[in-house]
Amino acid sequence: MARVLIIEDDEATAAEIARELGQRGLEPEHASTGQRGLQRALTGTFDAITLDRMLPDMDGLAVAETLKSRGVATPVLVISALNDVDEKVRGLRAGGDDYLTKPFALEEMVARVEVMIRRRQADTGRLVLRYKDLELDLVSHMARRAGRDIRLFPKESKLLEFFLRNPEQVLTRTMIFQTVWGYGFDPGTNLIDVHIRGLRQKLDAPGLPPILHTERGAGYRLSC
Amino acid sequence: MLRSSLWRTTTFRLSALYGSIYLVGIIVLLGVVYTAVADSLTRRSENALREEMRMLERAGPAAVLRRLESESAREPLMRFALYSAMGQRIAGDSPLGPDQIPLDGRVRYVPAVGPEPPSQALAERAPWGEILIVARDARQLVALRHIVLTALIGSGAVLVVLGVGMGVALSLQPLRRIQAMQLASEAIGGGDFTLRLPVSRAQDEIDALAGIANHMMDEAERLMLQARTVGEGVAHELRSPLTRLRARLDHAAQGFAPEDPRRELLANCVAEADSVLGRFNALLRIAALEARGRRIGLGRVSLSSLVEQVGELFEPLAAERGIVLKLEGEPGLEIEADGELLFEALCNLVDNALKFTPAGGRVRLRAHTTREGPLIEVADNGPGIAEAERAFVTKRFYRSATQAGVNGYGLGLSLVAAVADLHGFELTFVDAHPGAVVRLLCRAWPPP
Repeated sequence: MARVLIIEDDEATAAEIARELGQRGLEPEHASTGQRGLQRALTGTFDAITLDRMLPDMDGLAVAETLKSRGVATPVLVISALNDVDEKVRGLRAGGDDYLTKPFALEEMVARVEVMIRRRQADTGRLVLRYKDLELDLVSHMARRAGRDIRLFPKESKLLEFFLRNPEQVLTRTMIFQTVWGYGFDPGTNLIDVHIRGLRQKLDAPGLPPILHTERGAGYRLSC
Repeated sequence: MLRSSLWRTTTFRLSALYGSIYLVGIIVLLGVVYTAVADSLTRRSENALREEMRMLERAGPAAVLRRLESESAREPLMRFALYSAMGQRIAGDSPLGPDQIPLDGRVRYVPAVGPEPPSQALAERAPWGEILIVARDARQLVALRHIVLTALIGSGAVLVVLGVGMGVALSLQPLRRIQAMQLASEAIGGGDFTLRLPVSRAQDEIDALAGIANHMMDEAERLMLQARTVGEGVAHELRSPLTRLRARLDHAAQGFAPEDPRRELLANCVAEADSVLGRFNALLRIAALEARGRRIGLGRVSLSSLVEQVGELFEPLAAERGIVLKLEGEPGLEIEADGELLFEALCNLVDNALKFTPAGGRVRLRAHTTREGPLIEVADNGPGIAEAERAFVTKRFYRSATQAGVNGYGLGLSLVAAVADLHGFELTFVDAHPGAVVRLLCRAWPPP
């Protein structure tokens, strides 16, 4: 079972996060100060960390930096205030970590933690991604489902790549927009839906079960 | 600016008014002094002439010639002439004759003629019938008058220059302070609410005014912060419980069979909760943008690639709605901007245009150079924006009367306005008959 360390000074928030993670089959542990959290994180026994940026004793980013400098590669989800998103926070995404602004939907938080854990476990060096009867060649942007070749546009290929790297995992619209388009704002429901519909049409052939599912209000999931 | 507004300052106007009264006073005073001095000089000269005349008359017809010669020798400035009763010249060193001066016993001024200097002259018929003329060289008198006049005009000019100079100097000081206040007010108007008007130690009426204005701004800032934090706080506080509510509704909906009407009802509730959450997110986003003030991450942004990216993102949506999305990005056109914010703003504009354009319509996103600067235009052939509504469309939650049945939270254009404001870009709405054109003029920022 994947273990997640919650570094958060607010007990109520920490309890909410812990409950949600627990429901998704993850094993949460709570540390209420930066020092304590750093101590626990340095053991290297966690698969992911959620980290409040505003801790009473230190800046959350300092905790993340200390971990990296000590060679702890555990991915960190920094939870920051909405008006506190600077270059440093945005830079987290480039380094395999992630950030989320307060207030956030718990589903969004869990989805991000799960993607971080999976990304860490995944072999990122592969050039062909597979899930059940679906595969994607990252070089030629060619997909293949049930033996049928499907030609994809570069954006569609990137979109499918994100799903194939996180199979059976709920991906929210903002996560998709961030990863595939590289922008951090909320694009609205419709826009991403249209792109998903386009991809779905290409992937689903008559007689085949649908492979891209809409999780109402949350996002999408690749599953069969 | 300092020079032109100098004329409009109260201090300078008062100085100018006092200056003109002072100037008139000086002219009157100097005029009186001059007249008095000149009169006195003239009178003294006239008295001397009369005195000579009396002496000559007292000498009588027998001695007058001798007297005339001796006086001529004694008084170098005086000249004399003696004519017979019939007007024939008998003796004398003055060239003047009775035809030039009336014999009325009044002193006349005779201007210079040829080598003869100007003079004052008196002509009289002596009791014994002969005509006597006494003349006095007037050059000294004229020179004296001239000296007095020059002195008076000179000192008058000095007084006037000093007065005006003092007026300007006195108005410059308060003018500088007012200019400092103007600069501060402009900066505050520009969004820097931490600034205040400068208050000096003088504690004069300008400081009193600045104090009042500062107090007003403190209050305005407090209220604004309060309003903002209340709004954000409400959105913030409600977002978590709403998210939970939505999750529970969704969970409840899953509990019913797909054909159960209660499932449909609950799904509608979830959709409503989603729309409320969407509004909160948009509100918080705008609040966050506005709170950033002018601190944005400026960089070189290629407008043609931005147009391309926005086009790629919206192409499928436009196609699904049966709308032709046309892209025109001038190659190589670059501006200073925050690329991510500008992208978000353009997405909102295109999204709006797609919402209001009926199927079969056209939406055009264009970036090109104009005389005024780089211009981004989003044009559609939908119903357009009525003149009366143009000023309101950027207000939060404003939704047009023609928007009935169109999804949207009424926050899109407020966000575009906030982004334009952050960059100092100019956002305008034009009715294109048919359709609307939204123009974003990207002037260089900060403005030169």
